[in-house]
This record gives sequence, structure tokens and C-alpha cells, in this order.
Amino acid sequence: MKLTELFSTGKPVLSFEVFPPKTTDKMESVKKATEEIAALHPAFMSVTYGAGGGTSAYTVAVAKNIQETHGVSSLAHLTCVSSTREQIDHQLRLLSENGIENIMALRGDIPEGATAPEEWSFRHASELIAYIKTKGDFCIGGACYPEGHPESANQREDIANLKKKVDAGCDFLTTQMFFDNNILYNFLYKIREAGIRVPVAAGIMPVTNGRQIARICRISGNSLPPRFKQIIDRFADRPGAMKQAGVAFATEQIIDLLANGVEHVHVYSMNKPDVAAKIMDNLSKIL
Amino acid sequence: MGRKGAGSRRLSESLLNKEIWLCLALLCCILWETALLVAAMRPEGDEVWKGEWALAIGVIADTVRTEIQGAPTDMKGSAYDDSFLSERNYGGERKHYGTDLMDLADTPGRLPIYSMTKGVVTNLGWNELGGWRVGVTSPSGVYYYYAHLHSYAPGLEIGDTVQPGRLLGYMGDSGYGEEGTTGRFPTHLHLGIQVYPEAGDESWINPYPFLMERESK
Repeated sequence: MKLTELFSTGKPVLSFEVFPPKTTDKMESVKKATEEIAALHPAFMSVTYGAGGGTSAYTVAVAKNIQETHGVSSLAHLTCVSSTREQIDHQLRLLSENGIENIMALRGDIPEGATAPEEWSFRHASELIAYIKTKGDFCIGGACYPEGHPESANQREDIANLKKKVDAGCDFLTTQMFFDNNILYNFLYKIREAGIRVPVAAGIMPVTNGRQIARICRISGNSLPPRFKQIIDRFADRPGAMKQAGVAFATEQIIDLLANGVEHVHVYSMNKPDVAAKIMDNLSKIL
Repeated sequence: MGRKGAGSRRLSESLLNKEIWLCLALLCCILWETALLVAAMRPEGDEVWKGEWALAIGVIADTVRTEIQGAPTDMKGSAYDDSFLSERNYGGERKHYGTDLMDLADTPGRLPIYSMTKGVVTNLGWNELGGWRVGVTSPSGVYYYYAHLHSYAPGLEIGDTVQPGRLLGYMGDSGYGEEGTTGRFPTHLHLGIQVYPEAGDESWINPYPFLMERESK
């Protein structure tokens, strides 16, 4: 099912994200974890892109398995940085042949030391989106950044770039993680004012590793509200407590989003069925 | 005793100092807020800075603040920012004389719109810019303008007396065209406050600080 159909039902949409294995020997454990999450029957599941080597094929394999085992629609990530047009064509064919209708079109992280050389066919996600549009009847998602893309000069420039993506044919957006809902509300105001009207799924990261998140935030430029910092300070050294507090914080964020009319929430559950299950359980009467 | 007396005096001096500082801080806040309001309401291009104008603005701000005492404080489901006097293009280049409250779900008809103030419904129906709009004139003559509605509250009519919190209609995306036009922009409420309607566009004031103040209650 195309995700645009899900987004137009007027009902809350809760989805999870998983990642493919890096090596073949890990495929079974990843399959098991993703199947357990699919068994929770989220609205859909996204599978990140295994860039480089043969791992991009794993994205398709995991996405296909999710759809076939539990009938959960899948969204396959596709990144274009350092890919040739032929490689993108190959991946699009694979997706189409395996019944994957939804693509999350991303630029991807530029490899360290690279400066977008001439041979790259796509330099921006907007170019990839426009290209995919010509290659089949896919439903295309794009990324957006409530706190601004780390490479953007300012939010105005960032939103102008986002508008280009949407104008290129992006059907919906998923946000980067954020920990203060007011940041998202402010962002939604600005993109709506800029005339961006496609559905937006709010990206929520249940933090289960306090030390890791501090590092991720330093890189991505995410800000951590004082209330959340206190949780990390208090529980980062106790994994069980951190997981419980992280899931509770994420649940609270989701409830506030739903109460404010943000009906689409994408949980960066990674390959953690227990975290996904706990969140689903916490929202069982709300969704 | 001496030690106790000295200590008591120090304590009372310290309390006195605190009171003075609190008063000074409060005075600074009031002056700063007034300066912001004056800056927001000052007609663009006006190089003459008259004391009478600043005084009038202060009185107007107090009037509006008093009138909206009963306005709902819950703005859940929407987001707003200060866009007063920003550029608008429909119908030619012009300024934005109000505050837009965006529906986070961008769904026409979802969020109720309540009157901010007591008053009489003096405008109701379609206009090209505002779509389905409601205009409420308060007892002091200030005009509160709610535009781009999806639908009206059942039974609402021109001449009705409304109280703060009275349902006026639902947020929508109507306007920018002939009667019935929708979908030209995201679902939002355009809120305008005009202190002296006869004076035209120059008398719209910025609703943003008042909304911020109400929401913080």
C-alpha cells in the first residue's frame, strides 16, 4: 500500500524504523528482530539504506520480508550520494520487482574527504526525487530537519531547499529526531507558511543509551531540553533504567504530538523489538 | 542583643534592597514591553516620534489587554509566530496585518475558533482576502478580525452579542479568490486587531504579544 493512502485516512499513523544487516551472517538476527516488530502491526516500517558494497540489496530483502510475513507496508530508503545513475536504476528495478512501492529518497552522508565530484549523478535529494518520479509509480518520502540541516546556513535556506524537494515530487516528509515538541510545532508553522502541505511524520527516537545520544546530538546539532539532560545525567550509567526512562520520555512526546493534531509519528526503534513493543503497549488505547 | 539587632537590621536592609530591586525589575519589564509594542505598532516609514503617539499606544495596549482577559488560553493544536508586517503577494504586494495561527494537522474544520473578547458581530460572510470571516467589535470600538474560516458556528449572525470564549466557527483555508475558494494556503486562522477601523490599515496592531501573554496565563 502506498503511504499516501495511510496518511489520508485521518487516523493516527505510527510506524517504526529498522536497519538492514551489514553482513550476510547477521541477516537471520535482523530478520528475526524486524519480524518481531512487524508482528506488532505498525502502520508501516521503514528500512534504512545499506550504502556501499552489496548491502543495498539487504534493504530490499528486509523490506520485502516485512511485507510478506506480516502484511505491513514497507518504506525502503534510497540514498544517492556517490551513486551513479545506473546504480540508482538498478536499485529502483529491484524495489519494483519486489513489490516495494514506497521510497524514502535521501542524499545520504557525504563520505569523509569527498567533495561531491562531477561523476556523481545526484547531488541533492531533490534531484533524486525528480528522477524517481520519472521511473515509476512510487510513493516518495523526503527528510526534513526541525532544527535545521547541519549544512544549511540558516532555517530559511533549509526550508527553501525543502520546498524544492516537495516541488520535485516528494509525497510526504519525515522529520529528523527532536526532543522538544515545541521545536516541531515551530517548524511546522514555518513550513506551512512556506506553502509546504504534504503530510509530515514526526520522528521520535526512544533513547536507550544515554552516552550514545549525547554524541549523536553533538554531530547532528540536535538540542536536548534540560529535562531530558537530567534523565541522561541520572540514568545513563544504568542501562535498564535508561531504557525505561527513554521509552517513557518518547511515549510522552508522542502523546503530546497526537493531542496537538500531529497524527503521523515515525519511531526510530532501530532493531529493538522490546522498545517498539513497549511503546505500542503504552499507546494501546490512544491509537 | 547587639549581634541580634545588627543581624535584624541587616536582614531588613536586605529585604528592603530586594523589594527595591524587584520594583526596578518590574518597571524595566513594563518599559521594555511597552517599547516592544510601540515598535510593533509604529507605522512603517514614520520618522516623527511623538510622545503622544507612544502614550496612545500604551493606552490601546492596556485596553486590548483588558478586553481579552476572558479569552481562551488553550491554543493546543496550533502554532503561531510573529509575522506582523511581513510581505504578502496575493492581490499585489502588501503587508500582513495580523498573526496567523496554523493548524498543525492542516485539516480544515478541525480546530474551533472562539471569540477573544466581548462584542458585537459586525461582519460576517465572504471577502476576497479573508474568505469566510467574522468581525467582532468590542465595546471600546476595537475590531477583532477572524479570517479564512472553514465554517461558522451554528446560528451566528450579524448583530449577535458575543462573550469571550463564544464559538465563532472553525479554522479553515478559505479566501484568496471568489466566494467559496479554498485550498490556496494551509489551514490557519488569520487574527487581526484593528484599534481604529476608520483609520484604515495603519491602525492594525500586532496580536502576537497579546497571544503570547494570554497563552502564558
